[in-house]
Amino acid sequence: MPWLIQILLLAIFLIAGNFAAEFFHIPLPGSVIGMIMLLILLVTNLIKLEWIEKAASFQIKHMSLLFIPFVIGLFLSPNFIPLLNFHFLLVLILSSFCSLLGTAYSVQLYENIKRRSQK
Amino acid sequence: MSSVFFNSLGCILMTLASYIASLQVFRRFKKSWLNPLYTGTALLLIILLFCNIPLSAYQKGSSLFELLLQLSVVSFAVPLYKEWPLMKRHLKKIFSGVFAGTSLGIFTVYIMSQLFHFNQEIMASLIPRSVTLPVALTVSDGLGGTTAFTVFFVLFSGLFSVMMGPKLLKWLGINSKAAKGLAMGTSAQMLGASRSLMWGEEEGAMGCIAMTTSAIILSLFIPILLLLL
Repeated sequence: MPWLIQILLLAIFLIAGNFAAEFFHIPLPGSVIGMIMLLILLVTNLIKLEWIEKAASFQIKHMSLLFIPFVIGLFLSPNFIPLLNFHFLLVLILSSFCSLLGTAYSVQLYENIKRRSQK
Repeated sequence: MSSVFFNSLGCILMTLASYIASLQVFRRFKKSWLNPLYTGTALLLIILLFCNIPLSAYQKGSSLFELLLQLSVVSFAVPLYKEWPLMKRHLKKIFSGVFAGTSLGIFTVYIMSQLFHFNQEIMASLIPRSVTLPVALTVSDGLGGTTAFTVFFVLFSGLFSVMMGPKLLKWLGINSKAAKGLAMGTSAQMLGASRSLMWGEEEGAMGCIAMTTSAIILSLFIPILLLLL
């Protein structure tokens, strides 16, 4: 599949996802709905991986490029200095630890229980 | 009309040039702190300041990247599809891990926001801090947050988790491949997924799965959160 068609195919899923979110009042971002739709069609073999693989892998590989404009916007925005607030940073650090350890420990607990029940 | 066109073209070319230059540097020296996200941003920042281009002009020209970022969320169907057998085999483990991490993160943000008396705008921007940027921006927008706040919170959480996470997991003696990958993907989204790829293939796949499923799980929380806020 040529590049342009691959990208257009991905764009169709984005548009369809946005449309579905609006039309059915689904509280998910349109892009996430588009991704789920594409995944379902891939799993059910209605869409072949080769049709979109090149464009999708390329985009993911170079995703950090797309973050650059946002970081620039952040640094140059007049709100940046007040954001370096001790309370904000404390919340961010603590909640990051909670996400990290919450996931790690529950996965390990699950694996331990599974292992014990298999013995 | 033509000035708008040249303005956006200029912004896009400048961003691309900074990215490609920093990617070359990264490929040459292969140091993780030379990540093109940091060096590319620094380079572009210098160019913008040097040429005296105001932020508003740059942002007007760079709206294409916002669209591409949304498109890249759709693209995540491909790695998820490739890891489909792994996902099906470990569905319960993945779901319980990612759900526990994501909800615990939201809960911490909620409790601490009450404690520090943050207003709704800040709390709405803090809640999606652990998911990938395009999804975080949509979620924060839906809850009434602001872009600048959300970008900062997402990037700070991601960078912090990716710097401290691996050390912390090692120190606490968590060696399960799935636990490590899922924890990094849940707390540091894209940055965490690429970090866990450095451990190995299974960890990387788990990181990628965690990053996408945590975005979906967080989005599902929106209706509940709208009632709470």
